[in-house]
Amino acid sequence: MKGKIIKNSDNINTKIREILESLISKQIFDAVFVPVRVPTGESFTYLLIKDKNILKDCIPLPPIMSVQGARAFKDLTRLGKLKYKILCVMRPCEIRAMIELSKLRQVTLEDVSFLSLDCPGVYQTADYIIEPEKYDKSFSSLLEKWEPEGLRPNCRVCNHFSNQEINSDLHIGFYDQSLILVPLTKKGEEIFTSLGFESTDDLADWENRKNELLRRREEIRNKTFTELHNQTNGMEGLENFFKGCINCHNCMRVCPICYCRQCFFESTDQLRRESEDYLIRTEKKGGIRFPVDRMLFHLGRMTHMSLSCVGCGVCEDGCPMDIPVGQIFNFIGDEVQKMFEYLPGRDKDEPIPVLTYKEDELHEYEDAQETK
Amino acid sequence: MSRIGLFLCECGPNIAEAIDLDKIAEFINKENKVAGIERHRLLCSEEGKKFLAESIKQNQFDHIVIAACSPKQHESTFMEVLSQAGLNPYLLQLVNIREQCAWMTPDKGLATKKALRLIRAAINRVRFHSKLHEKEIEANPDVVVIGAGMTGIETALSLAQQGRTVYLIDKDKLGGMLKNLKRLFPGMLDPQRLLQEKIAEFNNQTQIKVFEDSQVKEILGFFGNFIVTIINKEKEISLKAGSIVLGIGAQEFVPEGMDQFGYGLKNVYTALQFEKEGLTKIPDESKALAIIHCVGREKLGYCSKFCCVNSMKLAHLIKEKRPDIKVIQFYQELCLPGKEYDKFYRETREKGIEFIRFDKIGVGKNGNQLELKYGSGDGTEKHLNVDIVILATGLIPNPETKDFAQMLNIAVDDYGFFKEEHIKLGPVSTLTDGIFIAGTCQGPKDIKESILQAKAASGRILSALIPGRKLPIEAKASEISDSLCMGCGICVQVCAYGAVSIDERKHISVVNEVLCRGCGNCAASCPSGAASHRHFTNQQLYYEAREILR
Repeated sequence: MKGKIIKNSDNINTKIREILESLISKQIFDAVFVPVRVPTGESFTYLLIKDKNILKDCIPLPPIMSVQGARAFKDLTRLGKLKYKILCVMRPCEIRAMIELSKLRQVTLEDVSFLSLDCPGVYQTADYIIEPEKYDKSFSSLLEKWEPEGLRPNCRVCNHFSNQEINSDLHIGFYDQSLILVPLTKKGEEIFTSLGFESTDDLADWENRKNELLRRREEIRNKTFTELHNQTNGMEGLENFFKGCINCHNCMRVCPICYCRQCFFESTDQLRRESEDYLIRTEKKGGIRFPVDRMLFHLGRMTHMSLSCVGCGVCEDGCPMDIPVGQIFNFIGDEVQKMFEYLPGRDKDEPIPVLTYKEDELHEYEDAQETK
Repeated sequence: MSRIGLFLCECGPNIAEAIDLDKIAEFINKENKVAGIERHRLLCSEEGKKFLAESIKQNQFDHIVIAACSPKQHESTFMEVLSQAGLNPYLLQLVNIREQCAWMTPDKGLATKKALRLIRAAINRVRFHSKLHEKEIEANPDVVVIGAGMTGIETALSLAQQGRTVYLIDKDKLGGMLKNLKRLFPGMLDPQRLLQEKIAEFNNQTQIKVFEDSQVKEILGFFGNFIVTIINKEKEISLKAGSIVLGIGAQEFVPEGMDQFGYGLKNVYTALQFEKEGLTKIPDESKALAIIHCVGREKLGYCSKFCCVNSMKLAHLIKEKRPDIKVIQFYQELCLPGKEYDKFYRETREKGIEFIRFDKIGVGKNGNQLELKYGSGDGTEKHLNVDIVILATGLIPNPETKDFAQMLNIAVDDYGFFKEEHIKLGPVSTLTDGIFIAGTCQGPKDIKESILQAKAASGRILSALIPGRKLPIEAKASEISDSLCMGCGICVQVCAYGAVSIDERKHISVVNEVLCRGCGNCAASCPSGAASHRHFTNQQLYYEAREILR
């Protein structure tokens, strides 16, 4: 693979900022959608930026994911496509969630271009807000060392941390004090050329390191998933796993994929029953836990979105009870996606299996003798 | 609190002997959820229906559970009784304790237990039934017939004779496959004369409007109200109709690449090619001609039914023209159904046509002649030199078949032909109401059978689409809540009837209740519960399932 290697002794954010500024100056884009540090300093937010001067404050690769980019983007095209061109600077899992949302008609990608970044992972938000300076410091060395310690658990097992199977236009990788620019689509090629770059540099070193990292990640991933499997086996294992859940539904609220106006499991009309019903439900188990349907919520949410789960782990970050909910969703998502040979966010034209209705599949329910 | 009436039908001895109805009544009474329990010997009898109606009125029941037979048998019967008794017919739940309990479970105790569960489930479900109203829509009685072969022509004539306006559309000229034929079996009729006669009939029918050389561009709408846009001489024409008949025919299978049959060699024809061209070009010196049956049958996977008799027709045609030529039919199995074809076979043999059964066969070149190498089951290979070989191939779907299937949301079968609604009970209807299929586009068949289907489709339309009469639409349909829907479109994708679409302005899904058949796919797949089924609500299903699992 060929691309452009830019030597950089500066902070990577500074260098990416320069690229973004140049794209706005050259009017390649009308605005940029990119994370910015909040004024108090301990968190980040996505900003739609038109003004070059404000672009100076952006942090394209923040050390935490206080909000999932796709979740942040949703409102932008809720009422229709963009009427201007923007560049979204996001982590791979955020772009993958964007692609899924576009298939579910929750975002419109027309006039949206993606700039993806090599992602070493993020710290857990709760840790970060206590000591932002400490984590800011260690994050800059993370890009050199790529050590999994202290990261969000899903980041430690992430196997799509770079340009692997990604529906992005332009990718920036980091290696050896350099930025690696790789155009991935025709659109990306145009952006790349407009910046005055040419794909002349050999990227073997970056790629070799990437593959080596991937190999290490896969090892941890398999081990973690096996542990999760054993831990959550059967209804009892699952009960145990979610034992601390307080039904706050935060995991759903921060999830980039969950898009329902009102969650089915919060709908009073659909799930609340007559008082007599709860007594009947005690018949088999002797008692019934309140608030009800706690496990049903998790299983239901899993059924609804596991095909599109990108394993970003934002749900786990949002859990006040420290339930490893992101890990189990990542693990189940992985299994379900393998079953359907589907990878969320790989290709915007690849339909989500739940969206494809194949009449042939119904034959198994028919009287074979009559129809054949 | 609703006043539920439970009716237990004995179905003569059918239920009474296999299930302890007294025990069921006793248990249900104790539960105190119904306002009354009635028992009857045969509820579907005239006397039984009267009893049901009177009991509903007397006891002022507002929801009804009937434990009897399969809903397939008597649900509509009992719904009618409810209507007569002044109750909305959808406030009924029928429990099938005959087929599912009495006839299935020999142990009376177990059968009773099972019946009790199902009855309790029905009682808990019926409480949540709401009144549904059957709406009606205005319908256009006109018909669009696509394909003007024999099937389309017959359909148009049958409909026009009853005063219907018919738009007959063909991509080519009138006549379809018939235009290529010299004779029709078994009576050796002249197809061109037949065609002229039929077209002459058109002149008496001002209601038939023919559009030749026209392409169908788009079909929108639903049963009773379709809009068909065609392109005729580069001009778009929009036709309005209540129903559509597809009679787009099929095409002959050409055994291209099947080298063993020598296709491509000089004097090797398919049956249709021979009838069109070969017959007039038989070389004078020709002495022998072979017709090989069942060419491509194994590859296609089906028997085309007409080709055996058609091969015999060709033999007659050859003999008429050149009595000196020896004609040999190579066959594997002869398909001669019905009262006409066996006779035709005997007549063919009487003309001196030879029939040889083969288990394998190959055609090659031998000088100026063609050489047949074949086995006839005794293990030896035999040789025969002939001058002409005709390959009797079957029919395959026209390439337009899949385009129309997609456009109209109807199914095709494993071979690519249009798929009928039901192989036995709905041979000319499709899964989309108001769309009918007839002739060879549904599968290979002879002209007689095509005409039968044309008549059947016309009959279905004449009885379902009556001028001035409105069409009832499914009351047990789906609905989508504006306030819950996020417009993700899952329901649009899973709807088999094309009944759900996105309202782009509001960014939500909407159900076209005319197209909706109430299958519930949308309700089952909607993650937020925005899509629901009026007669299978979450409440109804939950309480029903709870009692069954209790």
